[in-house]
Amino acid sequence: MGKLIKILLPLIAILLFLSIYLIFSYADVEKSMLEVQKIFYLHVSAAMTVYLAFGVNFIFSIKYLVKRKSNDDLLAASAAEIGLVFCTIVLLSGPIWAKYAWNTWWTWEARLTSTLVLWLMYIGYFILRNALLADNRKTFSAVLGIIAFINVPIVHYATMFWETKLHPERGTKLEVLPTIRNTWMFVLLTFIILFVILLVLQYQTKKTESRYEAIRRKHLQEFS
Amino acid sequence: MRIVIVVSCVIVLVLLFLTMQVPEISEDKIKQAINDGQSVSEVKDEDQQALQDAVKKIVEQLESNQRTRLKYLVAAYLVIWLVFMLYLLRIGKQQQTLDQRLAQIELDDSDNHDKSVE
Repeated sequence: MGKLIKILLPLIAILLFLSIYLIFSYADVEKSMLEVQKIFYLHVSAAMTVYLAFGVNFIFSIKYLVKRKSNDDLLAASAAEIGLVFCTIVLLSGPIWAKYAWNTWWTWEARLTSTLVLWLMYIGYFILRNALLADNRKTFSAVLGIIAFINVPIVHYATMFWETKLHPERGTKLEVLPTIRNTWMFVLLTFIILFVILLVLQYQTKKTESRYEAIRRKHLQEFS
Repeated sequence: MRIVIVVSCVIVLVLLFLTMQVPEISEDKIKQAINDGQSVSEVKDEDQQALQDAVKKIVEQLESNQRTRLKYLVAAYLVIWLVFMLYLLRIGKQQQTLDQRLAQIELDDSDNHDKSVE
């Protein structure tokens, strides 16, 4: 795991540099939003990474409920935490875009509202994890992880379910310049690799934490 | 972890440097544009001042709009960078605290073992 991180860290640094170079030097300036459109590369890539992170949480939550292995619970929690970080980025960068594009920081539009609900649900996931004791914590948070994931397709298809003029409706054919499309694909790939690195780092931390908890419990039992 | 933070700081600095590199339209270029405009549209001499004022106003407006857009752009990138940094610092701190606690427990263990041997 440590070796993997040592290889991936320089790789992600290079990819981040390249992403910024592509965003500012290679990608054309979009005609309607001009420079502000460059927020899109990070905003949309972060949103896609949120889907991935909560998807990983969903898969490992199911796996935990089936196999009852602690490592699955730790991986699920790590993915949810990183998903929450990316979701925070989406919710913070979105209003900056919105202020320029729609002249308002926030509007109760379908996708914005469903994304906020998604964020709140995963906040609830961590509140629950911290409130319960070890065994209950794993089972209940796995169940909540599965329930919370239902909101992901709702966020993705929100523009289809509810009429909205702000985010483009799914299936809308947008004419995107090749430089913009290629740059976005590259940034998305970078974010996915970043997610993997953060997942490994967070998983290691959580594993150390659970090891510490186990030793501490053993010590307390010996003393008592 | 420190390497990641240093690298990301460099990235943000490069980013800020790049956004500051937007070339402002110089006085010479404005004069050139006015001359070109005059030669094409055959502006009368008495209208020259009005034309110059109009071009300057447009250029100022364009530059002001661009500055506003760049402010939004930089704000968004800074917010994203800040979130990542706070998260990385949190992971680093968490790992450090845990390592210290584990070392303390191991130390306690060896002390207890020594006492029991005595």
